Amino acid sequence: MSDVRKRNAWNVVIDTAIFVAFVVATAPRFTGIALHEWLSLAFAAVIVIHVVIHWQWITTVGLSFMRKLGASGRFSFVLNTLLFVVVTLLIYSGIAISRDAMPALGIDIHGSMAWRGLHRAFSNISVVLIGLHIALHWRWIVNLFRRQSRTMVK
Amino acid sequence: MKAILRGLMVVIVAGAIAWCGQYAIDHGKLGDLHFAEGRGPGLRVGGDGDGGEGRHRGQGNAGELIGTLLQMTAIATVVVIGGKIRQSRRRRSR
Repeated sequence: MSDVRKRNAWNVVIDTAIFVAFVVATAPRFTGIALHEWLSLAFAAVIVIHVVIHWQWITTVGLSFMRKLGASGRFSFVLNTLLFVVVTLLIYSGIAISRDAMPALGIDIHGSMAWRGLHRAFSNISVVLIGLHIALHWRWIVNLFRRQSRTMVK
Repeated sequence: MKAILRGLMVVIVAGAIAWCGQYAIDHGKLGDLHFAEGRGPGLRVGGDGDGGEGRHRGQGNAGELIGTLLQMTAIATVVVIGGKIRQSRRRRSR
């Protein structure tokens, strides 16, 4: 398997895992608080991998943001930056109000009550932003899945 | 090695964002925010006499999960269809 194909296969696995983890983690009543917290911590780790994998896109688009980038490219970069900030605050606010995961790791948390409301607000905002993120990269996602399924058939 | 350094950079940036959030809570107006919790005494179920068990927000609510999925799908669908319409209009005008 060539390097590009290997990278694409990893992209498919990681992006699917992120999507599934996010959707499941946004339903704490469905999973229970403990699973919600552990899944969210795993989600945070995979987000770092996702950003590292797409590092080239971030640097290329970031460096050409002021000069030769089109409106859609600029919008995509701003949206992704905003999404990173919101997801970071979502995870941090989750850690600040953690009841199971952090105490299990031996970390005593005394989070402000304000974090609870902010966690819910960031969660709602991130649902919208991730929906937009998926929509903006829809063609890339479809092509990636098509290519991957063709490789698997061969 | 490069990937580890990049990962560290991502974590440092995320840490800086989280620190800003914590600072806003501790020193800014964010800490004074009060959000409606939406928690009541819970629906009482059960027969007369014993008063029944209080039903609180518990586990097993798959509707929340489906709701999130539907919201995201709706947003993505609207944007993708909007993009397709815009694309076809551009093609027609050419």
